[in-house]
Amino acid sequence: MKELAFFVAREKVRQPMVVAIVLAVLALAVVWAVYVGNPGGVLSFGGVLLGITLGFGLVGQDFLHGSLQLLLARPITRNGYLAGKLLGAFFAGAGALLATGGAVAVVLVFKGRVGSWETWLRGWWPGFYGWLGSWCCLPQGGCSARAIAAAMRLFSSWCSFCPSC
Amino acid sequence: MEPVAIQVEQVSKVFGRRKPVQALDRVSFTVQRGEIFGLIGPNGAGKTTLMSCLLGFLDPDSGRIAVDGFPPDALEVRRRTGYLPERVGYSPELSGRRFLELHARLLGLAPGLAEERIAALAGEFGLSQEVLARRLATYSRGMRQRIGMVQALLGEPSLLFLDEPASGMDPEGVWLVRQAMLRAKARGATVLLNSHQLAEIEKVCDRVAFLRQGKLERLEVLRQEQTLRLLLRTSGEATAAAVAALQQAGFASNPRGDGELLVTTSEQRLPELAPILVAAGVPLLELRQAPAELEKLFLEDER
Repeated sequence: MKELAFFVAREKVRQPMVVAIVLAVLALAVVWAVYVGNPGGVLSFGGVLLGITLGFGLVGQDFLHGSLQLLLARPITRNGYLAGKLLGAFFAGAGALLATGGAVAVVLVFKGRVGSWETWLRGWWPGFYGWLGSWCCLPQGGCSARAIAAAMRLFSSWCSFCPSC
Repeated sequence: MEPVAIQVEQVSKVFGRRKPVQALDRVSFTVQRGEIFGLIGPNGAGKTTLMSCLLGFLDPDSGRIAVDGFPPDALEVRRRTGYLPERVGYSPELSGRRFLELHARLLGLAPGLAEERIAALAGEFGLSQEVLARRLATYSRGMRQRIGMVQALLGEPSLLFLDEPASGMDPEGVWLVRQAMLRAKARGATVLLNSHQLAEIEKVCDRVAFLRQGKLERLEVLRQEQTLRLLLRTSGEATAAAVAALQQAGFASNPRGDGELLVTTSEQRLPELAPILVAAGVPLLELRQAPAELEKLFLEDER
């Protein structure tokens, strides 16, 4: 499973669409942080957008292209396949979002708007709306895009607590 | 190690509830280790369903399948299985190399070994480094089949399931697939081949199973160790004398009309054959290895 997750993550971060979204979110978040205020909302929205992009057709495309049987003929269980795909996409999105958040934080440091370590760490706890949004998405969806989008929303919700904004 | 690689016992499979279709109907056979076993039959005969059951993609409604003594979906079995589906579909964004790397990774091959095997097998199937660097979306059908064969052989499988492996391939590709199957057999692998190309089946398979409407109609031995099937041709009038002479000498023969006789013998007794006929005054016009004539058998079954 971990081999598949690693492979999926590596392939996903190379997708031009994913790179384009990350760059767009980064640009918007930086502009927002400098001229408007808290960029947490932009990052959260970017996280969901990334989640949808990464999760779209994650399993369905394999089925459509006829590569599903080829993968399932390998020593991997069906659950292992599913978990590998979802985890790979999630880690690709989480990594991209962390890098984006890190870049925004660097900009904020340069602007002299840095909070204490304590408040930064507390900021990791997902916000109420993040939880709510995630759990509302999951039972309705069942498809990989919704699952990844919900997970990404959950992951990115810490941004709204970012103390430096 | 047990001599039986695949055991299929009374396997049945029905699709649909409102209008049920009997895809497999109490199919039973065994495949010996190191054998190339062919599956043939008309479209809709249940060959692909049977292969899906053997690979553990589908569960039979009744009956039992054992592959190397394990259930077909056991990871133990999948570690030693290579599979090429009929319609080879891959993620089009992947390059050929990345696709093979993924399968090597899933097989648990060490990166160095994987690299070595990919280079060797890709070379065997005429896939250059430039071709491997290209996206799979740009591959022709024949090239897809070739890279499919490479992925199927990556783990040096002891069980090879090939579903129409030569479809869409040029004559060189067909020859390469045949050689790959024979090499796999030579290292002791069991090959299960599903194909409509009867000439190819005749060339490589040891036995074939004829399936029709989900039923196993017959099992035909095409090649048996130390057994030869010979086609002997004499003049029409001498056929009876030839049959009598061969029968007296202990050879099994079967007249087929127009002075043709089908003779089954062993390699050891082959040198005796011609002298016996000559001594009986039978003019020997032709003596050669008999083709399996699957097409004839296939059409007979169809009728």
